[in-house]
Amino acid sequence: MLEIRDLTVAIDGESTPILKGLNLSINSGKVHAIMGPNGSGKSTLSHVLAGHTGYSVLQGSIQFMGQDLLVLAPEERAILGIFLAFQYPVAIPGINNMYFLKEACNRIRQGRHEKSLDAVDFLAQVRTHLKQIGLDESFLKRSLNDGFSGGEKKSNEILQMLMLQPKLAILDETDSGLDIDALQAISKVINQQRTPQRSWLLVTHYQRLLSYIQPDYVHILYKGRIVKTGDHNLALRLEKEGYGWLQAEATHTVEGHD
Amino acid sequence: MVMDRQQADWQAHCQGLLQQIGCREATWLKDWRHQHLEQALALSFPNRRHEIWRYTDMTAWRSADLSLSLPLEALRAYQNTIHKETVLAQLLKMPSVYRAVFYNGHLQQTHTQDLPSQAIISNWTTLLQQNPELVQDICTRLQYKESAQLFKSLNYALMQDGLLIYLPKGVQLKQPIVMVSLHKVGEKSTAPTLSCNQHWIYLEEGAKAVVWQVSIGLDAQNNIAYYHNVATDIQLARGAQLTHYQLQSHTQQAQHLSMQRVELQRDSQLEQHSIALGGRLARQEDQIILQGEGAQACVSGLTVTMGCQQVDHDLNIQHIAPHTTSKTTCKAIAAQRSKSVFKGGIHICPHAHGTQAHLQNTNLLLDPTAEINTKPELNIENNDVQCSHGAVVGSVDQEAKHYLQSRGLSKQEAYRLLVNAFAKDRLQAIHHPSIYSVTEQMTLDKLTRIAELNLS
Repeated sequence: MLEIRDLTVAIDGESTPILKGLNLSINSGKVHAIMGPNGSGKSTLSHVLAGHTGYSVLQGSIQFMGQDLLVLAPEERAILGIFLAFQYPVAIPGINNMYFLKEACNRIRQGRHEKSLDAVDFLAQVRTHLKQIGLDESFLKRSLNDGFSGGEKKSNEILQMLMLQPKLAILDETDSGLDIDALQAISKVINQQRTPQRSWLLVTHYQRLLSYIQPDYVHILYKGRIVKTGDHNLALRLEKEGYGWLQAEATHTVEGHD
Repeated sequence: MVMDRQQADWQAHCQGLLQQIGCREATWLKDWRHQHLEQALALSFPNRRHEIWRYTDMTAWRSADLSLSLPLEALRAYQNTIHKETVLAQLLKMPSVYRAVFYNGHLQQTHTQDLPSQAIISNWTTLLQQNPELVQDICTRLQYKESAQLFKSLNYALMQDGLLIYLPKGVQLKQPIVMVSLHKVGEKSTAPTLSCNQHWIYLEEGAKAVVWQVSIGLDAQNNIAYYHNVATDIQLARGAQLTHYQLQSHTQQAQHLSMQRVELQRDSQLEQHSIALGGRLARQEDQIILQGEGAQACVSGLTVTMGCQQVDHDLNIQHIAPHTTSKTTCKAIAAQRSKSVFKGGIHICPHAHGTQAHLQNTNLLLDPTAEINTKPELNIENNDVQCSHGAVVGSVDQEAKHYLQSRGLSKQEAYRLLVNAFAKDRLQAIHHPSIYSVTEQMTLDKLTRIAELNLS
């Protein structure tokens, strides 16, 4: 489904790359987790996948569903099935949450040649999802993320994800800012949404999320590259030992190459 | 020499305009007009070396070959064209309101059914017949209020008509008063017309009213300009409350100058919402004088400009008495080569202890060729006060735009939504549902036109 090859990315206008030849493939129905210390490039990867214009791709390619993702605008990627739950969702006073959700939903449905939802169907779906996440309906009447608590912002991202039904959901540190109850509720929703057609990329600092959502693969992103891939046990090891041992191992690897 | 020549032409021209006014007027009014014309002509014409005119070029007012709009022509034009303009249907059919409609500065119709006795909603040309002493009395009081200002003196000299709203003590109107001012260049005319209005809104002790002042330019396609000079004098007696909504949507050729003065006595309240969308050059000057202890003024403003429009909002709030409050929130959106000027002057006089004054001006610049000038000015002469002011100019937030796009909205839609969102809180501050609905519709129409430009 997603094929990232030799991806080298810098912040727009800068020459030092953040991602340095990253390789990653994700197949349908799989859950991949990416962990890594601060500044290793996790959020850069998420943003580049979603089409943020603040980065320049210096080298490499990203294929998604057989298409060259890098030439597509963010909205085209969304229609194709990419969804990024932002680490820091933007607050926009003056845009009503429900209005926005309905616009987004129907734009994407139109783009996918599906029938737009009318007000009744839309509301029915939203109500179901709100209940799943444990949110009150008044949530919809507020301005988009405006004055939302950290947890509410993250929950709103998940609500959007449920309505937009992506093929690849990238959750960028969705667990941070959520209390334990909310984390459990959202994990449950995500587990319900795991289908053979849908893939997941969970970017996280904490093992805890992965004990709720069992990943198929855990990758460690370190200094712009994936340096280790394993299963859930890798996350447990990180939890116990931190990233220190990676430093030694990475140095060793580099020396080995020399 | 050139300046002298211009000044001489201008003087001759203004005198010519005064001669167009009916000669059957009472002697006192004739004298009043001549006196103010002399006053106007004694003042030097604004130029950009004067600080208050630094961003604003008024020379079109001097160079245009203006003639005054005539009442009879206005009546004919009103009858011929008004019903074709569908955009106005909602406005002119709005139920449960008192209404006065002016066309090119002359009153065409009023609707004042069920007005409480002793309250007055009437134009002063009618009042001149019925109660000339009242009009004379008001005029006499007006002239001593402030130092001479050229365009106001000109307005006094050439005033053609206007509305008097008078509410006696304790009268609280349940329905809003809608003053509609329609403007259109005559079908055959090649020269621009000038209309001068003067409105008076007087609320006695404890009286309460909602007034909506709307100016609309019809026939936006016509390339000939019209000029509108309007002065409004507002008096709020002790405990009176006025909610004053304003909407101007003149054509892109129009020159609009609105000068408003509000005096607030003890514990009276003014809530003002000004939405300015039109005009080649539209300038609104507001003077708000918090004269009595505990008086409160809340000012909200939104201007939207495109093309080669310029819209000015020149706001001056004077806190004269103790424990007075003012809160100002004004926004502007400027696209293309348009220009928006905001001045927010707050003066806190030596005796105004316990005063609170807050002013915020936020601006959205949509194109690098657009221009926004903002000048908040605080002048504080008392230490026991709470004041704040701030001005921000920014462009469309790229992070927000990306966020919206990442949810499937096109670049254009994201842009449109963000620009609308910026204006939203100023529109939502309008609490009257029908007034909100018309204002929102007209504002969003304009913002859509701007978004479409961005699309091409």
